[in-house]
Amino acid sequence: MTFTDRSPLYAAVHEDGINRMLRHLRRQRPSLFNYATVGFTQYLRPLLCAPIDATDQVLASGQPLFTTEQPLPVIGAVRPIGLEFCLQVTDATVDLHPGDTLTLPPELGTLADQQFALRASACFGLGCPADGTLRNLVAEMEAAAAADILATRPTANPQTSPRSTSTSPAFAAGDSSAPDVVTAGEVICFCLQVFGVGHIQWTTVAGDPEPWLATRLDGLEVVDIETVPPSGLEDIVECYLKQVVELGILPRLIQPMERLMFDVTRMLQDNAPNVGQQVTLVPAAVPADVPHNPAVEHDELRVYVKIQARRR
Amino acid sequence: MPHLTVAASEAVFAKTLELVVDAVGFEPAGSHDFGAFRAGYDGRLVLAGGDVELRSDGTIRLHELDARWEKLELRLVLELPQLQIGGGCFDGPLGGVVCLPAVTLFRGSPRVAVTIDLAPFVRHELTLVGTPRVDYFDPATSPFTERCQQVHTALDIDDTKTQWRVYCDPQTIDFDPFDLADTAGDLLVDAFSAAIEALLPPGLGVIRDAVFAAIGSIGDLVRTLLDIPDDIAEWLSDLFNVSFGLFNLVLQFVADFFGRCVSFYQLDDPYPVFPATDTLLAVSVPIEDLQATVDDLELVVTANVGE
Amino acid sequence: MFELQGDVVLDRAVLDDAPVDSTAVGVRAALLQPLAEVGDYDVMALRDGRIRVRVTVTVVPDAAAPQLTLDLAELEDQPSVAGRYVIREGGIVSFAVGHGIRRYAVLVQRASAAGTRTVLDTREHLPAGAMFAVTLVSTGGHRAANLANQTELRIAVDAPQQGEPYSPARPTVVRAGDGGFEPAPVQMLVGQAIVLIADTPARFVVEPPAS
Repeated sequence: MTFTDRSPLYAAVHEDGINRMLRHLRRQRPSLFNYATVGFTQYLRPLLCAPIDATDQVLASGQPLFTTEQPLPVIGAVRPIGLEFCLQVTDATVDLHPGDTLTLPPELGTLADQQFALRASACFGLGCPADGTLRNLVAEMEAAAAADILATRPTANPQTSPRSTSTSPAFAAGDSSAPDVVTAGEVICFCLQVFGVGHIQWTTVAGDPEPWLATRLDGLEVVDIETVPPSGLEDIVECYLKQVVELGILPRLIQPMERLMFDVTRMLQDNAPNVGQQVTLVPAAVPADVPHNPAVEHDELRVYVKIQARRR
Repeated sequence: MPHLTVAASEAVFAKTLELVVDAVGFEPAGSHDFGAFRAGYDGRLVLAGGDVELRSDGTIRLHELDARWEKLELRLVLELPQLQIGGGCFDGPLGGVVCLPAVTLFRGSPRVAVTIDLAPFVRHELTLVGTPRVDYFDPATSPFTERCQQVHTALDIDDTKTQWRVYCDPQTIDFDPFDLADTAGDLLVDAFSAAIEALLPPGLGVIRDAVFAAIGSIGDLVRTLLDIPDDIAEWLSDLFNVSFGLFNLVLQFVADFFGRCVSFYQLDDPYPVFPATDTLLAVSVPIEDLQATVDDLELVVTANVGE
Repeated sequence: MFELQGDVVLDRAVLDDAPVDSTAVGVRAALLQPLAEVGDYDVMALRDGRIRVRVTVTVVPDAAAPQLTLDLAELEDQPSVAGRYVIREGGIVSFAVGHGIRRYAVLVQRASAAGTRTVLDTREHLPAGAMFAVTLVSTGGHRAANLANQTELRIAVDAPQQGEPYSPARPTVVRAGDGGFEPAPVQMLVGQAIVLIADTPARFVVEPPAS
């Protein structure tokens, strides 16, 4: 059996290689794994739940270490107001079928054929205001509420009340529609271990005829929250984290098939125009050519690719 | 278990190597001073056709490649003999031999440069057996011949990045030596004939015929001027094989081209995984332990992702 | 494809088929004078009545060279090459003009204790033993004459036939005595020279066919 007996091109990445790539990715592009409000670029930086591990090159470049998020809104506040927070994925490990590295929680069952398992550590930190700050804010909210009431009277004082002095300057001076951010006195963190299972499939991307490899999450389980009796809290956290992973992280990890071939076809593709041809890569057909493509098996992610050469 | 494995079937790999072969362009030039005359050449050699075969012993065989000269100009610069009439010796009236001074038709030095393109007369076949050889290319330290630099410039090969490069390193090269046909010799004689005719304009009238009659065979004249013992075509072949050393130059070029100059596979190290954006640096991973092997069915490249 | 690189100039004077006279040596002619006696010879070439070249030829018994050729035009143009020449006793001096249209009279005198003796003065008759050679550059019936005794020689000049063995360096030798030329008539090929040997004092002219 050879690698290319079912398609002329073959590429495989072992789970150990994927995990090393993930580590490089985490250190070289930390903003993909760290999300926080703007306060964490300034006075809250030392209070991150976990220090951000980045390469010297990244640190020297001044590129953002986390993706900046809007503050967490305080529901029902008289005026829009939000709290500082951070969400950090501090570790991630992938185990390709057969699952022999990670032990999945019982809720996720046994790793199925062609699936991969994922384990990640995630920390959430909330910027909690100091008591003094809160008292000031209460007074401001009461004043605001009172002003709203007075405004309904015909002899309303046209002079407006001053804005809060207890909010982050970054937001206070900004867009008036943006919420004021409450200055945090401390950051309260909790960390969870998250397990997931998923599969990999081809997808298409607008503007590119060649397929891309995308990761799909089939299930997610948080293992550190236990309530007796079981409550919806864990389900809510899992639901939210699933959205974060599926809508935030995974879409950024899709890769064009061409890059997965590690340039083995670069010579062909670079020179195709010179010989009047257009060379494109297409996945081998399932099940006509191969039973699974991409295939997650034997601790590897494998792709089988064919070449189409057309006269230009 | 290697972290990365890529494989290409024999058909794909053969096509890739054919593109490397297509890129072969050797433009040698040189000259040699023979004392009585000076000879130089200016050529351009290309490869075409042939077959690529992967073999179970781990070698790659490129066989029966057509090594074709698109240009192979030979330039000979020499002094033509002074064309003379009259002269000669006779028995003197007082005994002994008396010789007359000859009448010289030209003043000055009738130096002529004859250029002939021998490309249509030269055909070689080239067969090469090589093995994949992995090199680590570092622009700062990797040695580079000037000729290789020229090839890379012509092929637009980016030599600014550190890369793993896999070459088809020749173990044996079979290349036919120069073996020029008689018609090549005829071409040389024709060129000299034209040069002498140009020296002797038709206005010379009957003297022109006399000079040509005196020269007799231009071929003999060429042989005399170039000190060629007999066969002009054989002399031309020896000129390229031995005097110019072009045979060895071609062998050296082929060995360098495939073995050190143009790789059939290259992988950037670090390998880019995510491109840079306006605000973010590119993400790349170090590649280690790259190896390339062939068997009779496919090329397999393996590597690890570094720490 | 060829390229003539040298500064080559066809010497048109060679093709001038005008009559040639032994009184003045020109480009197609040569005068050969044996120098039989040992000693120094004062050799002068005159043009337009003036001496243009003057050299000394020393004849010694055991010199290596039996023959000496003096290109008078070259000697006039490059006096520095002129010098003292040595030939073997009984050797021959050839006077020739390598290029151009100039013609020279030649005067050879031998100085000795007994005084100066003229050996050759082409303005007068050639002495017996002198030879006059002319290269013929046209075909047809030429005429040679010895004006000293009014004898004539008919010369038929042909073009070499294709494939026929031909060498221009094969002179035809004719003796010119009191009884005329011998052999006569002669037949030769264009580009070859005829050598007229004076057995008696002579003045030769060689004329091309009447046009």
